[in-house]
Amino acid sequence: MTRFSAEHFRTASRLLFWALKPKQRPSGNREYADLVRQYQESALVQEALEVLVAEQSMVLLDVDAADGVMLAADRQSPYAFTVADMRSRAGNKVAAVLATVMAAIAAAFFPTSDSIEDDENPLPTQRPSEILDVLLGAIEEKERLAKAGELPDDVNHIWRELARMPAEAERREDAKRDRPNLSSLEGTIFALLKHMSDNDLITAPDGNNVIQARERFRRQLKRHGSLVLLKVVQDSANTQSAE
Amino acid sequence: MFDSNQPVEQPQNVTPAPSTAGPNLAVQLEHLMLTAPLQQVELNKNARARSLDDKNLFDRVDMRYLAVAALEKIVDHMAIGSGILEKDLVAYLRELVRVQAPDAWDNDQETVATAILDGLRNGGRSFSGSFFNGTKTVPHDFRLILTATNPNGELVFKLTDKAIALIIHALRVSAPDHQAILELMLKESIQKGLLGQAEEQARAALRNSIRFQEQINDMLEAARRRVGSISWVRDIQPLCDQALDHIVSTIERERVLLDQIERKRMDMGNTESVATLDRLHATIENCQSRHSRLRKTIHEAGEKWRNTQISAFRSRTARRLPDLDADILPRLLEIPLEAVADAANDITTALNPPLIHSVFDFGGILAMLAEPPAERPAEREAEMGPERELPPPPKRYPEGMRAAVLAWLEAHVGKIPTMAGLIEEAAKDGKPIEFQELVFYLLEQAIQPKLLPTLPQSTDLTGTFEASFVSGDDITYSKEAP
Repeated sequence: MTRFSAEHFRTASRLLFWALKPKQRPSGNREYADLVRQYQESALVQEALEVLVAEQSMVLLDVDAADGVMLAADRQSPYAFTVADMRSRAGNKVAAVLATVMAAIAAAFFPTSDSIEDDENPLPTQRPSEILDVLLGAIEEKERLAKAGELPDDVNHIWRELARMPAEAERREDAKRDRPNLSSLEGTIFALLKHMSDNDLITAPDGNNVIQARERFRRQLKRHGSLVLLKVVQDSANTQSAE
Repeated sequence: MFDSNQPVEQPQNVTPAPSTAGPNLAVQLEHLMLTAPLQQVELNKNARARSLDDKNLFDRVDMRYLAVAALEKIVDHMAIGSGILEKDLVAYLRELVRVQAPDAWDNDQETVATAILDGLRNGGRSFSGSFFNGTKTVPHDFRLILTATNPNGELVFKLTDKAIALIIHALRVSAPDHQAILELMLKESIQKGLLGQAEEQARAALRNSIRFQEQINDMLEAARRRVGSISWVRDIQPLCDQALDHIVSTIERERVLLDQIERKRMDMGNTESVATLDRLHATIENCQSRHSRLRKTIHEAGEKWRNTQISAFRSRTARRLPDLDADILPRLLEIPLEAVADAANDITTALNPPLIHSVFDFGGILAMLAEPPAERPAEREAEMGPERELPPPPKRYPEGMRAAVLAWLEAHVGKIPTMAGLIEEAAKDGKPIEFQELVFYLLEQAIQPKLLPTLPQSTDLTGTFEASFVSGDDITYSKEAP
């Protein structure tokens, strides 16, 4: 029978402590690096961390020396990142737009399952304008289908809400122009990219406005995000067919 | 520095531009006029009909198509030889007539083919016209086809420079065809010793080779980016093969041109012409090396693309994730807004790492406090032990004190009018502090019964003290009127 000691759980708890600070990496933190090494060497620490993570309704994505402990949260977890963490008092419309645009950003960076699943692929780069093009292309396709009568007119699909939003953010000369504004698709993309950069899923834009996905983002989609998105669209399809 | 005392030399023979001059559109109008013969063969075709049958035939044939096809055919023959024999061109046009009018008789096909040739040759005469170039009306005479003899002494058709300009500029040919035509013109110019014109054509050929290189690179890059959604064999390989054919023939033409320039250079005594030929040679060499590199790029592209595709499909697992771009996003967009709003937190949580919430969620805490405990009494009893009755609170005032206070108040109220006076009197009588408190509570209760619930639970105030009172800062009591 497995015999955990308090030391195993202390190590696992400290790993969890650092895992909840995504900007921290083993390379810049001696204690964290040592904890990761202990994790890799001890099956008991690995098991203890899995227990701790699972009991917090989280998923252990991976642990490595470069990115440290990578976690994803379930909706029930006290650590779940929700719409309210981006916009407090967000109404239904804003919440739906934010969630959809976030999925579009993921699709722009990782369009195919291969790009998510193959760890040997280089991490992809995107510009905000290219992400906007992906989203606009998907909306235009829906508009084309709607014109051809292949989509019902009487349902307020989320694409209709997105199509009503201006594509580009209003350019203002005053100091507020850099503040993310959710009234346009471009502004929403900027706001979400800022959050994702703060959460260490992507890099900040470089001088050419190019953003690179981080390994954490790929793992997040590979082990958790893609499956949740698939479940959302499948559940919706089942509901609509039942109606 | 200018010396104002020196007379300024005036340029000779320069006509000052009139103040009413319009924009100079000579080049555009020249190109536009070159298309007139192609339009006329279509518009005037019925005039060529000698019978009703002819008219029916001409009605079914697009003469503009045949005219352009004839020009293209002559260019092709000029590239590989010195021109096309009339009989070969007529045979080619008859084939094309048959495509449009399969039931046309042989002599009818020949009638149409001859009409096309007549229309393009204009009976050996120049097409005449004029246009306004912005300042004045200028005449514009040109021919599209001229006749020459080939090395065998046979009469062949060739295109004039104007006709080649028509094909390049007005008819918008593809980059490889443009290259072929430019190099053809270049060859002619070098043969005729028109070195200035040849140099300009060589620069145009170089620009066009850069354009072609960009087109090929764009095509290969697009293929690489869509490695999972295109078929190399179906979509890209034919384009690459076509491009390679063009490049191979282009490199060969450029080799011939370079030989031609070197021969010409040896015959030249004029230093200026030699320098021009050297520049021409360098420009053509530049084109040739660009095309050689492009040939290498295309040769390697297939292998590179296949490697990319192999790497993309290498780690295929039994349960593949869906494609976010082609599968999930389109389906997500078709979900009703309200349903997406319901799932918004699921999506947001799934696409972000966990977060330590730095601010207390007061709403959540209140909801948790308001939530009734779990309805599992057995578990709770095992955990907490059986529920016990709370002991009654200890009585704050001794048994019988209330009755004593009421009796004392009966004796003193009226004699001592105020609450403060009554409490002071109780103190003077040596009553303990609890007695004095009870005096206060009973007097308060007499005027404000609703205070009772706020009194300490252990206070025994059963029964009331009946009193009437007069208001003031210190309440004045009197016995209730009977």
